[in-house]
Amino acid sequence: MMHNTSQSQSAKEAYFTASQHQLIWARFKKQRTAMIAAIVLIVMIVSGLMAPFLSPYDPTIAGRDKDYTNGAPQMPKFCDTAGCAARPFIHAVERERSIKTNFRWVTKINEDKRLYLQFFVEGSAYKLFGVLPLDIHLFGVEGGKIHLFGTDEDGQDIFSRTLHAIWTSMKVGSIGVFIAFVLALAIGGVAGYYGGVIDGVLQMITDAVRTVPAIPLFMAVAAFMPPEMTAEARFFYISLILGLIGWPTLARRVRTHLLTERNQEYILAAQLSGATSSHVIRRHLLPSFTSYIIVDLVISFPYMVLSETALSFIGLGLKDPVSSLGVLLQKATSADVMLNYQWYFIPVIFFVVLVMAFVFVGDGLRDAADPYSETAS
Amino acid sequence: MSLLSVDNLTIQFRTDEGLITAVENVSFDIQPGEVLGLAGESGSGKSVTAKAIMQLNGHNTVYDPASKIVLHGDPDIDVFSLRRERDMLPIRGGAISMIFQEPMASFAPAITVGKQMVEQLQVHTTMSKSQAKELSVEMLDRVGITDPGRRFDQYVFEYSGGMRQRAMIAMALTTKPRLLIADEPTTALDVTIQRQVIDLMKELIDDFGMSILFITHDLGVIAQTADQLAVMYLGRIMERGPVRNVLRNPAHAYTRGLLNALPNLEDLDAPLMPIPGDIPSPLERPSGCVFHPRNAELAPGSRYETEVPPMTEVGPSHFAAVFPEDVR
Amino acid sequence: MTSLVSVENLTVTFPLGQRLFGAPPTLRAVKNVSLQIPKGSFFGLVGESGSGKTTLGRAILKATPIEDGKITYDDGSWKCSIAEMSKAQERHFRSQTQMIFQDPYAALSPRMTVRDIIAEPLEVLGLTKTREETDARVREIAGKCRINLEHLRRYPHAFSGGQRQRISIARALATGPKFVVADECVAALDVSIQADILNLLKKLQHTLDLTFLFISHDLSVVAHVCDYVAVMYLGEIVEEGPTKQIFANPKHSYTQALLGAIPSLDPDQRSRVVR
Repeated sequence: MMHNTSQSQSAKEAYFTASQHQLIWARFKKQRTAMIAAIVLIVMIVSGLMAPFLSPYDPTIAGRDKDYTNGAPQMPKFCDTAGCAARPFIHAVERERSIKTNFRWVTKINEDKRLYLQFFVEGSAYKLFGVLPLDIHLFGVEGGKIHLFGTDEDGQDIFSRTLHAIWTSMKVGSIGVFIAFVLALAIGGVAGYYGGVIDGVLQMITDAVRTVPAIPLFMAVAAFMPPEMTAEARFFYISLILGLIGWPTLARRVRTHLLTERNQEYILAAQLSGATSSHVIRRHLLPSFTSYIIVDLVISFPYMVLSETALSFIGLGLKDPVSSLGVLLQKATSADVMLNYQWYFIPVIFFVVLVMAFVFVGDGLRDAADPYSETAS
Repeated sequence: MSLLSVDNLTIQFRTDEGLITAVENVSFDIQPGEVLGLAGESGSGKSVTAKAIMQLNGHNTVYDPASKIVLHGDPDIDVFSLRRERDMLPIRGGAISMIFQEPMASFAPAITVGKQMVEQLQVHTTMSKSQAKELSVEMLDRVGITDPGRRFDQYVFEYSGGMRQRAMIAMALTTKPRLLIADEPTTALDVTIQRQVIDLMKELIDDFGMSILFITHDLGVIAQTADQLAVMYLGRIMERGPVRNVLRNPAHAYTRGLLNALPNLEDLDAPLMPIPGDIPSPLERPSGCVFHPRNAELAPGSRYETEVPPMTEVGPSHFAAVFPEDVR
Repeated sequence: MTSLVSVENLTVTFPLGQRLFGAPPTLRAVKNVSLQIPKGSFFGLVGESGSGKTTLGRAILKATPIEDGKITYDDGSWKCSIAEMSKAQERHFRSQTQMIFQDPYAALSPRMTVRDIIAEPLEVLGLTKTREETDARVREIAGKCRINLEHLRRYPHAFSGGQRQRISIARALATGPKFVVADECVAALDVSIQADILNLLKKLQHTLDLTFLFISHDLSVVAHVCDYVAVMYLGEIVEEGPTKQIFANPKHSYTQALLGAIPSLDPDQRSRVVR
């Protein structure tokens, strides 16, 4: 049996000198679903990050289109009855009110007037990444407005709102996960490392926090938050509360992991060489964590996003002008909308995709990390 | 007429690192009432071979189409022809029983030992529950467990290590199998307990007359229990024959090396002689005779580096993987 | 023959379970054991599971709390009582004593390269000042343990059990200790590799002037490598003395039972005969 060509030798050497992280990454790359989900996730995160640039209009009331409320989605096309063009365009809309329409505003599509799509148009001002003042938007239309996903009852562009909503939900999720993580690491870490009575007491606290029901807690918090509180402050408090509720599960994982790792022989070997507790924690215990923690973080993310959605949906979370999925869905609760303006639900598809992407990536990471845990090969 | 014949068994596993060969062209026969010891170190493929007989290897196992395992009887059963799980049921625990290294892992922790033994009997025989209980208690007594009636109703964690192993043997023998496969049954036991279990197995062989496929790395244990011995290395059989012949006149360099590496209690001053080198990883199977890189007796450029030696007869019923010109 | 380690009336107990109020029942793993380990010897500690041999080894290295008794370490130029060491004394003690573990897979951190694993004791104790000095020392000790220097960049998952054990040994010897406790360090290895590791340990003992406490359940191995043997049963030492004497003429019934239980390689003989 022939073996050991120089190519396979260098491949083997690469395997031998690969650190844990490299091995996990190599394993992760082999899972197609997880890789596709990762790409989708990155695309969505980038779109959220660049939301002000990618969306043609300001998502708040300030950017609304008074002439096109509850408007249907406008998809750019290349051809119509009058022929085809090189550039994509949409048809202009006109609004009229007359005795014919019973004095109600009725929107009509003017098939004769074409509005060509333009790229890198000037529009409303914004700050990219919160610091860079710009006013260029990726696309727009001259002499009119384009609404890819339609508009809501106030004329706000749903496409713009969706992109911003993704970003808002990601921000809230990140802060919530971060707070939960810090608390979990501190509490779970101390409980797992010291064990004994300290562990017992901390476990009781953890379990107590876990039993707090979320909805009543939020209702209480909502009752205490004054209505004139700014959107940002509201946003911060919601994230904080989510983090404060989310830490017990993660803390338990941290504690369990520490309790098992603490008794591993290589830890004892380090201690018998005179290593202090801080050395052991820094050099051995914390790194042994990273793969698990990353997996846990990625998997908890969608829970945070969905919690925020649920809360905002029932009015206890974020409110206008901030857009998040919950806020967007709140507007979709009337029968009128469900029957006539179904495009209000387009953001839901995006969120389903976002959550699923997180879940698949998290699962993929966990499958990739497991074989390289500390047990015998 | 042999009880079990294994012909040209080749087993590979699909892993992330590629297709690795665990067992290659392994052939042996077990006669009725005979104990065959399968000796080898890690990576020898001995456990994989045993599990193949019971079709217990995982889903990523690839069996070569030329492999054949036949349990002779009325009728002959070709194990690989049994495609469905339930066709294997009458064999597993019925005609063939298996005991393992870790008895704690073989018994369900939340069900009493007695209940598990009765369940096995009910699957394989037409006994009633009370008949099964009677037989089980009798077997527990037979394997030397004191107060078997009370032990019957206990859980496996209430047993000591040696007792658990005995209970596992008892459970394996209640269905009066024709073949017992014992996969490292004494490895996890203290040496004094190991002695007791070995003595017990020898008694039971005399009483029940079943064949045993005894897998272990401990040549001393095999010397005490086996009639025939097959030595495996890296998935191939290096030497095979009656146990006295193989241990007293080892014909293959690996067998010699293994025997020399064992501490010799008759001469405490003699130096320990390891086999040079390391067991290669499954990804780096040597060509030719798989043992050649570690064989200090070979001159460089010998035939063994490129050609696989055949099983050559070196004595009565005694075979070794050497070329005929090298037989001493 | 001077004793490097002197154990007097040592008792080690473990609590079984936890209680919120009151003391839980205890297990006496080591009962009133006294032992003298001569300097430069290869001292065997033999017993089956539950004998307390591992606990005794760990107690000597202060890896387990002691309930009663005294352990003294005296290498001729430095002496201390292990139970009452100060922090400074403990630091010195740790550089002079080390342990090699049974499970080659659990004893090495999977996240560190071999070089880092061997260098860790040096870095923790601050025995080397520069990275070059550490590297030089690592290479020196790796060479003595027959570890291929190119393998220093690799991670533990690249190695077999025997190779990992050599890495464990190199780590234990990096600080230049005088006393090493080998806790079942060949039990998890294949027979052909065991002999290799044992030969390595004996050679290192001679070149580096080490004292070994060799804990094992395998009598045949102990018989070959150890000068002295102590046999433990249920927390007590039942017999001790020079190896050849014990094996040729065991006095205690437990020792006799242990020797009689070793299966003979001769199918026509039940137990191995020791001559």
